[in-house]
Amino acid sequence: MGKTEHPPIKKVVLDAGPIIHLDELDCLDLLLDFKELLVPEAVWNEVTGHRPAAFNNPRIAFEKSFVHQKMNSQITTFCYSLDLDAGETEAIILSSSHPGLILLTDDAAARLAASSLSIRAYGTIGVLLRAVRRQQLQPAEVIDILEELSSRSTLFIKHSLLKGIIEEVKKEYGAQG
Amino acid sequence: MKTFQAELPDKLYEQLKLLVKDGWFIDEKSVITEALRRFLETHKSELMEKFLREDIEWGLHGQD
Repeated sequence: MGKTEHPPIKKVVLDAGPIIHLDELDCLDLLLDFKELLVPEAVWNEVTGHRPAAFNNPRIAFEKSFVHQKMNSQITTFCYSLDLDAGETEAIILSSSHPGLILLTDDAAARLAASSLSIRAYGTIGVLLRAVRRQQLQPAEVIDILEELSSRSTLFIKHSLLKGIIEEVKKEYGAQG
Repeated sequence: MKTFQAELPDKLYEQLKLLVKDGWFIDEKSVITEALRRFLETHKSELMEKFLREDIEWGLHGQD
């Protein structure tokens, strides 16, 4: 990891999924490529409850952000209508109040909400693939991680889709994969 | 109609019972059916595939 240094480029809001999944894959360092890592309070509590070790890396400056759901009642109601939990709802509210940032979530309903609100959202797979483009990881390293995804993490991706993603990496980077 | 058994975390079950007690649902079965229906609406296979395609596009070809 960390083959070439690149300046941090973007502010992101994090939902619990990518924090937990990247930590399970020993890939949390990939988040160092983002300038600011905003973690809504409810997400913070969720990660602390499920995987507190994820916040133990002193190099990764997660920033706990406080969100006032009552101040954003329309978005809150919309999120509740999609059955988003408190963390996902706060992540959407926080993202909507910072135009231009990226939301990282692995929840389909949260991504649906983000899409409806014109918030750019990506998941753990996007961060892993981006690591190749940003030269944080070698293509072969990412392929290894993707091949071991189901045994090393709680992120579930349908096998045929995962195989397709691996093929795309190999196609894009040829023999390097 | 199909019948199946599932185990729920205690806290989740308490929340479920509260919804029935407060009169929002007629019984616990209705809560589970409605919750599952709404989950399935937002977790359609093609939707999840679309999001994965977006991840691949951003990851491999994005500008940021």
